[in-house]
Amino acid sequence: MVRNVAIVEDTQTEADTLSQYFLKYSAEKGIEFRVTHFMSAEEFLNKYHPIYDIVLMDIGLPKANGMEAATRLRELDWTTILIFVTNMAQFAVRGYEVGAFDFIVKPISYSNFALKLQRALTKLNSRRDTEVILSASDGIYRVSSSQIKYIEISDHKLIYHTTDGTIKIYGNLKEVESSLNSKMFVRCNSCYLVNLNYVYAIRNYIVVVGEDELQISRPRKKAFIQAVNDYLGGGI
Amino acid sequence: MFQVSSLFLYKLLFMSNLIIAETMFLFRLNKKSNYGVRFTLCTVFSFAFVYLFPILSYSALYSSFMFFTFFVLTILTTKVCYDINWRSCLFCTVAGYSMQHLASVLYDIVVTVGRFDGAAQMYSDTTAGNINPFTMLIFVEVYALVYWLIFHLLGHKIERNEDLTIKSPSLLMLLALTVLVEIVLNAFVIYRKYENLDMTYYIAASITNVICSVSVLIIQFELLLRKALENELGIVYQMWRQEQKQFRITKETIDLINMKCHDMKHQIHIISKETAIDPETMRDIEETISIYDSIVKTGNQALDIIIAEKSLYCSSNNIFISYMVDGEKLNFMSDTDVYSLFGNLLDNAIQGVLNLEKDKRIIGITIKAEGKLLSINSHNYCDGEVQIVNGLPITSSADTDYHGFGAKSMLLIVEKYSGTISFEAKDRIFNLNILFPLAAQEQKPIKAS
Repeated sequence: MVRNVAIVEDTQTEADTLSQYFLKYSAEKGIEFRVTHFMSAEEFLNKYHPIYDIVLMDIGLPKANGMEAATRLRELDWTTILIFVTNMAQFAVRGYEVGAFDFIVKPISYSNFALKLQRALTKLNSRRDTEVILSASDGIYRVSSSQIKYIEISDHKLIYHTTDGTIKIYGNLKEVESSLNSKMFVRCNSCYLVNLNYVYAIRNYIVVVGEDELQISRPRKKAFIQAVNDYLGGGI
Repeated sequence: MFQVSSLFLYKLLFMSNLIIAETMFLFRLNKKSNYGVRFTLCTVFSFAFVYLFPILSYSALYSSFMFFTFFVLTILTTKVCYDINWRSCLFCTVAGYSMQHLASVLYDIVVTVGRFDGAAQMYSDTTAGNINPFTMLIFVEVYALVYWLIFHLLGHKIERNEDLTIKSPSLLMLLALTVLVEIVLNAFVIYRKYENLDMTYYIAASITNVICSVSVLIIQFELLLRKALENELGIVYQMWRQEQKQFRITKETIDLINMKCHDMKHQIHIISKETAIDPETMRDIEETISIYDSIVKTGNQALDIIIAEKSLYCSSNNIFISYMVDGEKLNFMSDTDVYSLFGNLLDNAIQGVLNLEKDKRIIGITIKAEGKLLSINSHNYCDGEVQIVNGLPITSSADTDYHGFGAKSMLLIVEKYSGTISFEAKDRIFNLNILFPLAAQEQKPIKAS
């Protein structure tokens, strides 16, 4: 699988170094990258297509600074993994405000680059999307797994709670579970399979998924919370 | 010709087996000076005592009394040879006796059920004539097997010079009493068997005996384990108290240094106006005195302090730490808990990268809230020797004691705020994840410790 990467960097030599690092990482780990280089935030954002898995962005860009550019990027694309490249660590501390994943301090060493990239790739894997075809009584639906908030089973009927409403089909929750990304979809009790991306809060034995409150069963609690922990923390 | 009874021979055998059994639990403990001499004298004395101890009657009560007296004798000799308190002494002798007893009952079952003639009547007044070499072999094998097994399952857990003082002496006395009852009951069972072998009765009684001996051993070591856990907890609490103190001192020190640096900057400014120092040099001087000024502000005071405290050490050891942290979200925790948690987290990471090549000494910390969940991650390169046992990392560093407690301390703080912690070392990268449910903190405000 090819990973799409955007480098937003106004210094050509820095961008070249990063491209070299991607090649080296690719040779070491056998992961392919398609790297596109943009000289400025405007060039990058004006014709933006949400196709990038990873965006490496210099914070100290001329004109629009990195933080502003990142805010604009987030308006266009909330899912891409944004990593800042900077020589000002103090600024990057607040990178979480614009949903940055992490940052790398210049001058970039390959080890530092590889450490952060490895984490980003693990994160991408844990969010790996699959397409699901659902044949309900009123028609066939094509849903991306990232749109599914959770799947409920009741009376041999599977209820898919998606961002666009609910879809009911006949089926088996166990089979559905094994077909989906196991880092992303985890059971909180025997009748709910939850997309961890939509977990908003956990209180005792209640998990809030989107707006719905679901019961966590006693035997599954530990594993479920651990899964949420590793999903959000990443790297595992 | 001088004739001896089976019981006469057996009591000597019993004493050697008991001494071996007890020594297996004792040998790692503190020995008194001239241990060799003491042990030899005690052993010689014990055998002389056993040799001379008269067999006044061949009955269950008398033989029980006799074996119990021998047992008490070993308690005394143990106290003479080892520098341990009475409770530790009782622990080892009771364990040794239970193990010996278990072996003797199992041996008896084997020869009785297997109907090996002539060999099993060890408590009787029959002449100890021809010893059957085959039963002798079984005897040695059963004892060796039982001793080996018990030692590998339980006995080896006793550490060098460990203090075996069980907290509850009444429970230990109860175990000793169980052993006493076992001795008496077993004697009755055996004498009854000599009169009239009722296999059902015999098997039932023997099984009870075996279960009793095993239970005594298991309960003893269970008590020991619980004691060790309590001790660990005590050490962790001790660490917390020290960290609390350390937190206060560091905070005061950093405040003081910042104040002094500020004053110095001010004075240099005044000097620079009067003399001609070029701005470049001026900036250098200012940078040099901003020891703690350049350090990141995270929004959480305790986190700032621990970062400042570690930063000097890290920069002098070429360790680079990147922080992308929303410190404000940590404000539900008490300052000392934040200080302790991140102190241990950073120590753990620093320890992990300290011996790597310079360019791999990188640590990354991220703290961010997603909804009402707070996710903390720390990642660094490691040399691949980090093992995770029972969910806690065991570092390769020599002073494992401290680091083991560091991880336990983290676990306790995380659990205090209903959080979860996990560790993983894969592909030479170590990851630590902590999750706190912020909703739970609002629901149940936790007081500062």
